[in-house]
Amino acid sequence: MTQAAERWQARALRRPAGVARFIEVYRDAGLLPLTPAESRLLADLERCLGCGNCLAVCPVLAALSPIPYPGPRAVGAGLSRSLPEYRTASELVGYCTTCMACEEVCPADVPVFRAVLMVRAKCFEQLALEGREPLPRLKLLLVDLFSQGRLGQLARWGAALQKLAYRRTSTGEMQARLPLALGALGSRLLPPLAARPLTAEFPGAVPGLDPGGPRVAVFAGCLDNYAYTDTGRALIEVLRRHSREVVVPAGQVCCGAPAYYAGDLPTAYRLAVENARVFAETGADFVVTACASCGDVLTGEYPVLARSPADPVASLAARARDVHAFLAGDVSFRPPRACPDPGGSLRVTLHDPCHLARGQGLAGEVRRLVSGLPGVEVEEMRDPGACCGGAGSYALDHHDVAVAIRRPKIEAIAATGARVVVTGCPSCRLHIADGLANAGLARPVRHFVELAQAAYDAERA
Amino acid sequence: MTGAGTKGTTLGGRVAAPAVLPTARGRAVRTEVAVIGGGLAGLVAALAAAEARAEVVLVRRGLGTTAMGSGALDFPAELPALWISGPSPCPGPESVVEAAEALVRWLGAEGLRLEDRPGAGLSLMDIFGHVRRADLAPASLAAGRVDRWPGAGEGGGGRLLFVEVEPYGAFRAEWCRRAAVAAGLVRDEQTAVAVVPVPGLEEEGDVPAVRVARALEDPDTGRVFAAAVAGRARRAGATAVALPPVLGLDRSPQVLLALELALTEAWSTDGGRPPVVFELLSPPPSVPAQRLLRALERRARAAGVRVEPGRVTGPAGGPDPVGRTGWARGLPVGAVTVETHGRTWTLAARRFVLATGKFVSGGLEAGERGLREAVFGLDVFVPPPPGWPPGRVPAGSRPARDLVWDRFTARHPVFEAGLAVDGRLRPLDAEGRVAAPDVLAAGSVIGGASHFADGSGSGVAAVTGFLAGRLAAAEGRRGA
Repeated sequence: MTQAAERWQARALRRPAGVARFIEVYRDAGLLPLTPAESRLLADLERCLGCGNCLAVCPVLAALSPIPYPGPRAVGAGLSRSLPEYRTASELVGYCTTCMACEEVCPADVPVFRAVLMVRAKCFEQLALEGREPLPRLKLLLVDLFSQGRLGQLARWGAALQKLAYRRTSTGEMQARLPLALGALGSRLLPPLAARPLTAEFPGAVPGLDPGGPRVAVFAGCLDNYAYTDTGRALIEVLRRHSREVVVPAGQVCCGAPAYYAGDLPTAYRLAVENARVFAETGADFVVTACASCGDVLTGEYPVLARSPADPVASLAARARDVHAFLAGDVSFRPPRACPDPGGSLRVTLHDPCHLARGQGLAGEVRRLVSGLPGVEVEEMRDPGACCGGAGSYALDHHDVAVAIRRPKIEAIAATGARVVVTGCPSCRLHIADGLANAGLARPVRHFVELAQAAYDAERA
Repeated sequence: MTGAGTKGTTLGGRVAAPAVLPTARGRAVRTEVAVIGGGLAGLVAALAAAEARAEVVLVRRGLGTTAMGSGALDFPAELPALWISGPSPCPGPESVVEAAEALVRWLGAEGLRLEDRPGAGLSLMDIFGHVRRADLAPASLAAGRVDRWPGAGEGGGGRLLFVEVEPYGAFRAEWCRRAAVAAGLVRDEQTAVAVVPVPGLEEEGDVPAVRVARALEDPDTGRVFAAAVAGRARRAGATAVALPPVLGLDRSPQVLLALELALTEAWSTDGGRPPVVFELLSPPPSVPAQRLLRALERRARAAGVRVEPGRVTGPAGGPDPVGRTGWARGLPVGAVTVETHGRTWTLAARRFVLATGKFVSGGLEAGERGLREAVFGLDVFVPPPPGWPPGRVPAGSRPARDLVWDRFTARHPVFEAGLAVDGRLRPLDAEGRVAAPDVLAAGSVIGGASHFADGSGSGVAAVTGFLAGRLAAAEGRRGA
């Protein structure tokens, strides 16, 4: 048993006496006790009619042929009722990008997305109990990169090295000078690692321009903190104009999304508790992020993780906002008076990240904000809410599938006359930028706050 | 610092936290009219309210239960007696005409042509060979009315070709052909069958209807398929072609057009008239019904309605309608809690339209403790026992076993169960008082009609939805 596996096993066994006894008796039979919420979820899954609507919208099924993934219907109806072989099940549900499209076409309101998360958590727990590695090696490495804070260490040491082996593309990503070294993944664009994370760049409070505005703390998110620091700086610049003070607490950790979506709920909760402590100390009115996935986890999954309504994790969730929600709802957005493009007009197209549009319901807010910038014209691409396949570490540990899911997205972007693709998620940004580069389309992918900052700068000029 | 469940406080004497607390969707959503339910009643209510210039948010769980239908609408010229009390107890024939016209107009704007009129009584065949009745139907279904089949009426010639679409497993052309012949709808020698594959799906075994429909929307796939169908129709000498309802989801007009062009081309050599193409009805959730709902939803979005997927779990402030703390009977509801993908958020509105349907859609729940209304715990009524004067009694006053008869095809009282409302569609409690002044009911959640026995489900949904939407807009608009 590896050291990590021992740690997981010890943690899995640390349960109330009755539950521990249940596990002891039934462990070999592969039976784990269900929580009340999980029992309710299983009852909800029984509503499945087997109609197959979900199969028609699942991006994984559309991309894969032949199909090793049984699709949302099987997840809903089959896998979640019996988990006889945890390893097989965990590989199958690993194919889900958690895009949630299936839930929106289900005539029976079957919570497939919740079921996938539950199956993952159960698989993880069971394998941990057996003293086995609960995830494939690459996935473990990727999850640890975030949840153990290794991305920060990697960025500190790797930023200089990356500049040697990679060159910066015209759109801001990093491309390998010698792409042969790592096979298929070697030619993949990487985010530009920053030697100095955003949290170190802003150690003190940044004074805001609106003395009557709220006090805002920035949740940077790993990608914007260690790689896309331009987005982070733009976020702070935009927030400054809508607050009396902006702080970027140095002690913040990963939101927990990689661990949570891999089924490692204890690690996700540990990170949530740490963030709740760090942000409670700031005393900020709002905790704002420019990362769709972080925002979705902070606002949507922290209440699920919280152990009681009084849990500090729940109160962080209540104050957390995606920046689009914050600008459109909590303050009155003051649009810049200049166009972000020096030419005076800019045509953009929007990609809706799953966890922004479906997860947080902000597709309308994004459109109102982007089209509110002077000179900016939005040209909708075909099916802007279709999953791009990025899905965090999914793009690496299911690279072939992620690339196949992305194909229609790149075609949809290419069919527009847009010069810039706007999206509210750094993970979507990376995956789409890589796809555009492969297709020979040098169109930058940017966050709304970067456009807004450029416009504010132009206004000053 | 404010935590969940506390009221707004001032921070440093400057900023007040929002009064309705932000929840999982980031913050509370406020609107003038909130529609709960995205079936026919909910969408019609949302569109009617939006046309009356109200700000509308519609919350729906998955697809509305109208998707469980065939896409052909049962829409009588006169509604059955619903439990609506007030100066004009039931929406009259003029309301039926108005609602039907609006529905035809909205769907027409999205490229979906509805044919015929309320009370028309069209006879349409389904993929199992049973004839079903409908009043309003999308053109592709209405073209298949059995009184226009070969052999019927003047002349009586022609031939009907049943086309099986591979790999859509639910439809067997030969079974359907035999059923049609056995029912005396068409003579044996006037029928033929053919099997046509959908390019790209051959290897996949039994494929859901929606998947086939989407595959045919691809122009190349659609062209190859259309050419194959036209070839088989030409060889069979068909004057009519029956297909299962899989001809496209959002782009069905284009798929149909490709088919008609291919047939015209196949018939161009001898100048004869190409055959009529139509779709048979199918069991739920059918593609035509989803087309209809999706087209209405597109129209609603275009009219400014904000459509949010989610399940309304109850009035804000209490997770459970029984143990709630945030709302007391007789007072306005104000705000509801919504759960979307497992995350909860708050929706505040000046008027709520409750269009949650009956049992399939979860508007009414039947359990050990009898019948209950799922969102607000409103009083549910059932028809009185046999021998009593007509009307309604509270659901709890009649044993649940009396609500369902032994005979399957009987008129079961349980399907007439529902809310009783006043003339402004506001739900009433057992004592006849308004239970929530800011809630209006629409569709089959209102009791009194049995959509199975009366053949009136779509009509009730559209007419009450239309009225509720207008009333909610008039009452809910700010400054109104």
